[in-house]
Amino acid sequence: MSPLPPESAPARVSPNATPLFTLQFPADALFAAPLAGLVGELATRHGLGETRTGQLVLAAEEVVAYLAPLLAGLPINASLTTTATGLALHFAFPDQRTDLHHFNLTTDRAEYLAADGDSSGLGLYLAARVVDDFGLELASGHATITLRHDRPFPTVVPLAPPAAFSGALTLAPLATADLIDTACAQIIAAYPPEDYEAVVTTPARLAALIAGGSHDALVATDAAGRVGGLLYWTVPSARSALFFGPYVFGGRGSEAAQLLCEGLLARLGKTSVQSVFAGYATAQTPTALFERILFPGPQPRPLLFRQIHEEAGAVVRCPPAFREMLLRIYNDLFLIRDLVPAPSPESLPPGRSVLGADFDRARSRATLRPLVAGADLAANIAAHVAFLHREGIRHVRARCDLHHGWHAAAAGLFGAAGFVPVGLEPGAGLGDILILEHHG
Amino acid sequence: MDDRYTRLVPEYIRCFEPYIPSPPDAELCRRFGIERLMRLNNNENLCGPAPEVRALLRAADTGKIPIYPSGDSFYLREALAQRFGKSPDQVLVGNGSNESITCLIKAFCDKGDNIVAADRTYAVYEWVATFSGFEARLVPLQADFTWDPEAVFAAIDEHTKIVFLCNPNNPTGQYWDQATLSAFLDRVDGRCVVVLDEAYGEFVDRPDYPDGMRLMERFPNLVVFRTFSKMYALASLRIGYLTASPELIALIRKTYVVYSVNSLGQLAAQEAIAHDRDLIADTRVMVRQGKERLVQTCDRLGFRTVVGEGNFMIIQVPIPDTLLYKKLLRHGFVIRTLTAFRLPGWIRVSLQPEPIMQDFCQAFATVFATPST
Repeated sequence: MSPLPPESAPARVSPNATPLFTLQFPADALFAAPLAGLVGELATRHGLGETRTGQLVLAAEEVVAYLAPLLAGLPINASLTTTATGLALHFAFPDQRTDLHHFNLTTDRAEYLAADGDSSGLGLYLAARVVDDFGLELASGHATITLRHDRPFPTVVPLAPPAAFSGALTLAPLATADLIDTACAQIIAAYPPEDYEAVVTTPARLAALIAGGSHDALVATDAAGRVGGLLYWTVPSARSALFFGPYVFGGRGSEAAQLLCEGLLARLGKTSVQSVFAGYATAQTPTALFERILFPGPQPRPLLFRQIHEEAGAVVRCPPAFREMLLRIYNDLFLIRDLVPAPSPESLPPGRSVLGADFDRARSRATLRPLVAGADLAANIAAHVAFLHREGIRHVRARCDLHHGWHAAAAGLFGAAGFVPVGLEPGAGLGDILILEHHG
Repeated sequence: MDDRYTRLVPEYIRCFEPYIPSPPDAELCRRFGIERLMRLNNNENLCGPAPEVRALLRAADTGKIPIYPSGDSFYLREALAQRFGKSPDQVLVGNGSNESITCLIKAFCDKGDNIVAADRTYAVYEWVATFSGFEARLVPLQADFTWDPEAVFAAIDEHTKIVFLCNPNNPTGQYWDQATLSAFLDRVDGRCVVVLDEAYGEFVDRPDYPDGMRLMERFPNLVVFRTFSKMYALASLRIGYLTASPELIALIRKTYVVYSVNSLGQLAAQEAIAHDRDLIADTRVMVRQGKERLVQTCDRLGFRTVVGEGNFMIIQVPIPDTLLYKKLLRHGFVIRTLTAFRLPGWIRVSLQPEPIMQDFCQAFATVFATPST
């Protein structure tokens, strides 16, 4: 299987970030233009440039136009905040009077498909398509839509790695922007593109993500300050970390790789992170420091993980179709799990389900996440797959947290819809996360 | 989590990750499908408690259970003072050393202050400082796992209130000798409180090992922590104590919550220090034998070991320590993984009497002989 990086690397909004503005207005399309004007002015001031400012403005208009008829005058709180790499526009609103199914990206799929590509009414999808990151959160009677868009960053010029190093390699006290820049330039020169994320090509963005706290990094340097290696990571949830690398250079790659990976584990040792996963594990990853998860079928890259803390077992809800496979994997990993049968799809609550979707357009990949349970879940999954394939997205994944019974039921329905398990992330969510992929 | 309550909590609490203790033995046995469990993860002493203590506990007067204990462990403080040539107003007894750590930090630290400790040491110093809103300055151990006094001194600034020195250090077993400690205390020159945590002090039989009880006469900023949980084998009763100058004790006492030490614990501790000679001697022999056996096993496997003082040793293993934890649990043994001590790939093993160590070494070797086990 391919590695399982986050579908995008959104810049986290600092919890202390002061909004550039906060507006409350009734849900009415009348407010789309004034809001868009304000967003456009501030995006320009914050360096998004003409093209990207236009994209964020378009997305803002689409969201307001989409919400207006749904919320029918209910208040919308819109706020714009800076992120480490650009801007984030948030729309918060009550969802009590809203049928949540409208937040499926494919909510108007029938009309859309019938109209042979007419995408009117697909406002959320259009917004998601033009910004760097689109998020939907539902909690306690409130919903929040977040649009994140970055300012443009320069692309790095490849730099030949040092031929030799002097003295011992050590971890630099700080992963400064200069070190990140040099390391990325060396990665581009030394590694094939399939070994790194797009963010490596824009080191200033990676440095900004690190400065903003959504990412962290370790850089190995020699006595003369030459860069011998880089490893960076992100913490997509409070319980899991995802690392990239180790990218190492010159003739002392194994030494640098060991140093970087041990440094990563030591840094995570006293955090809330329970498990760490390899996003793009390179060939130099010291395998003795990690466990390997073996799945049926070809694996272009090893799926490496390890736990940070002692784990004494957990309960997972298990779809019957995947029970044998999960038992084998848990046994291979010496993980103690009480496998409780997932509830049957018939037990899903009446009403309509909601699936969240994240996009990695560079890899033509979308990842679906169950957000709201509903009796129409099987049909909703099928509609999403049809819609995404029609949009030209080749790889559709789903992530189900086996802590939740209904997520496990959803995993069974994904399986029935042609998805096959391609990954397991023990302890990455409230429980283990099963990853499935549609190969249609 | 419901934001209504989260917003009431200080930022340093929101960011703090609580420690989740291991499940009870019976629960672990059920989950792992094993019939017996031997804990080699908490540095307990299965040689004890002393026979006199066992007898006292067997004969405990249950008629006194409804009655509150002595609120400040009156007689136990007298006994400890007599044992170490102090006055009772130089001793405070707490519900384990964790209570002493908490009270000390509460007593001395104010907003903007910090404490200094090793980066790989007993975690509770760092925890209490962090969840109380104070900076924990962690000074790295050196490559040989010793703690560089120069680096520790360099970390101290005008906001440093307490330096915690675990001596010997848990989990590495290294210690500062008399000369090193005295020189360090001379340089600190009373600018902050220095805690000498001697939780494992009774296991050390070295002529250069410093005696904090004597040093505090020369250095009035020195506070000594000791415990009945390790050598004295009273871990389940939770009794620790600290000793310092009367002036320091008067300040620390302001933050002590009285009545935190139960009556049985106080009685057992008094009995324990009155009858500790054989237990200490026997335990030291047991620890030495356990180290020898485990080192031999590790040597055969080609694993690096660090054998310091204390009733434990650490081992570098060629698989993730957290994976080894799971594998050994299937053989009925619990060890301590050290990734959380910032030592990934290392484990700490508590040393226990034969035949426990024999069984453990066999299981340990089996795990590495057969990867699927």
